[in-house]
Amino acid sequence: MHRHSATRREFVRHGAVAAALIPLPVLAQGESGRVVVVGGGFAGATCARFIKRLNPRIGVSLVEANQTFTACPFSNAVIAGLRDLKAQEFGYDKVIADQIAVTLAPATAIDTQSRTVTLSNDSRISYDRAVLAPGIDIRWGALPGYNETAAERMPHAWKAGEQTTLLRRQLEAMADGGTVIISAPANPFRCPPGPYERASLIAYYLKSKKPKSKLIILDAKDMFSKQRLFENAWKQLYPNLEWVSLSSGGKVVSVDVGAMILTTEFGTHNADVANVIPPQKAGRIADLAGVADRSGWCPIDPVTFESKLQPNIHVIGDAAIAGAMPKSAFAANAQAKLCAVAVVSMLSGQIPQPAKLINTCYSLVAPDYGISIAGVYQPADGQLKEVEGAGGVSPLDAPSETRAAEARFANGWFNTITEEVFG
Amino acid sequence: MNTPVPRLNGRNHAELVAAMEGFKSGKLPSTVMGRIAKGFSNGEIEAIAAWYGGQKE
Repeated sequence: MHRHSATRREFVRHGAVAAALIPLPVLAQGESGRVVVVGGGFAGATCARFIKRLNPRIGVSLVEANQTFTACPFSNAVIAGLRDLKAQEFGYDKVIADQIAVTLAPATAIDTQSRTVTLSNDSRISYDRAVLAPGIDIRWGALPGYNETAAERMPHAWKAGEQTTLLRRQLEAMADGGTVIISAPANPFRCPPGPYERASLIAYYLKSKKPKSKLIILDAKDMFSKQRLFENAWKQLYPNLEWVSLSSGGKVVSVDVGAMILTTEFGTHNADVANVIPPQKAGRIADLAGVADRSGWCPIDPVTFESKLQPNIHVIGDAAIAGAMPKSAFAANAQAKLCAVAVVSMLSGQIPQPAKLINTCYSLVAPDYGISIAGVYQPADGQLKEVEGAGGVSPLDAPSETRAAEARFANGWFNTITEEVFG
Repeated sequence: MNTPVPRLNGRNHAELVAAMEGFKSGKLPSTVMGRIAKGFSNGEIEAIAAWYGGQKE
C-alpha cells in the first residue's frame, strides 16, 4: 500500500481545503489502486487485461463506446470481398471474465484534478492512473468538401464497420470500366501501409471481376511504407493501378461528393467510387483530457507512456506520438503491455525500467502474396527510436513461396493477436 | 487456434536461445524473425527464453 500512504502524505501537505476538493479514489477492501482504461481496442483491452494479470488487487475499469470491437487489420480483405466483416468483430465477454469492470458507453469528460472519468450516462469513475487508448478520429474540416455527410458518399473506411461494408457495396455496384480513386493522406496516420494494401486488394478484385476498370491512388506523399515491394508487385500483377505522388500532383485539396470529383493541386479527377482516407488526429477524449498537443496527437514518455502534458494519464496506441513506431495494431498491443508494467510499478511506488518493443506490419498484395515490415524500438533521447541493425522489409527478390508464407503468417498473426486481446 | 506460427509458451529454454541466435546470425532461415532477432543482445535473448520457458503451455 505504498501509493496509498504517499497520497495520505500529499493530503497533509496540501491541507484541509485541498482535501475537501480532491476526493481520494475510494479503495475497496484490499485494493491497491484504481486504473481506468478508456478505449477497448488493441491497445486498451490489452492494457486492462495485463494490469489485472500483473496485479489482481488493482481495480481495473475499461470504458468503450461500442458494444462490439471491429478490427481494422484485414478489413481491406472485407472491402475486396475476400472476407466477411463478422471475422473482424470481437466482444468483451472474456475481458469481463477477467474481473475487469467494463462499461460500454462513451467517455465524455476527464477531470484531471479530481481524477475522474465521466461517461455519457453521467456516471463517474475515479482513478489513480488513467490509460487513454482512443485510437483515431477523423479531422473533419481539414479537407474542403469532406465532412460526415460526404463520408456516406465517399467513404473513408478508416474505422472498420459500416464504412467498410459501404465501400464494399459501392465497388460491387460499380460497372466494369469504372474508375476507383483512393486519396491517401500525409503522415502521420493510422496504418502507414494500409492505403497501399487496400489499393492492391481492390485491384485484385477489379482484375478478376471488372477487368476494364482502373484504380488511381492520389497521394499527399512522395514516399510510403514498403514502397518498392508494393510497386514491384503492382507492376507484376496490376497494370491498371496508377500511383500519383505528391510531386506529380497527387495531393487532394478538395472534394465534391455531388459531382464525384476530387481536385488535386494539378487538376481534377472523376471517380465512380472514391475512398477518401482523410487527415486524422487522436480520438476525442485525448483532447478533452488535455493530453493532445497542437499536432492533434499525444506526446508521451517512452518508458512509461505517461502523458507529457498531464500527470497520471498514460496514452497508448494510435493516439500516442510513439517516435519511430508506426500506428499499428501490433505496436498498440506491444505498447499496452509495457504501459501495464509501468502502471503497476508506479502504483506500488517503483520506477519503471526501459524495455524494447517490437512491431511487425503485414500487408496482403493478393490473397497468397504477403509482405512485411518489422522494427525493434527502445527509448533514447526522450523518444522511441529504432534499434539500429534490426528491422526492415521483406526481401525485394523473394520467390513466390516466401510471399505465400508471409500471407499465411499474416493470417496467423491476426488470429493470435485477437485471441490474446479478446479471447 | 488456426495459425502456422508455433507457440512459444513453455518451450525449452535452450531451444529458444538456439532459435533466436540462429535467426540473428541468419543460419536459421526466416521471414521476419531474422529482422527482429537482430534487435536483441545475447543477454536479452536469454531473458526472453527464460520468460517464455516459464509460461504455462
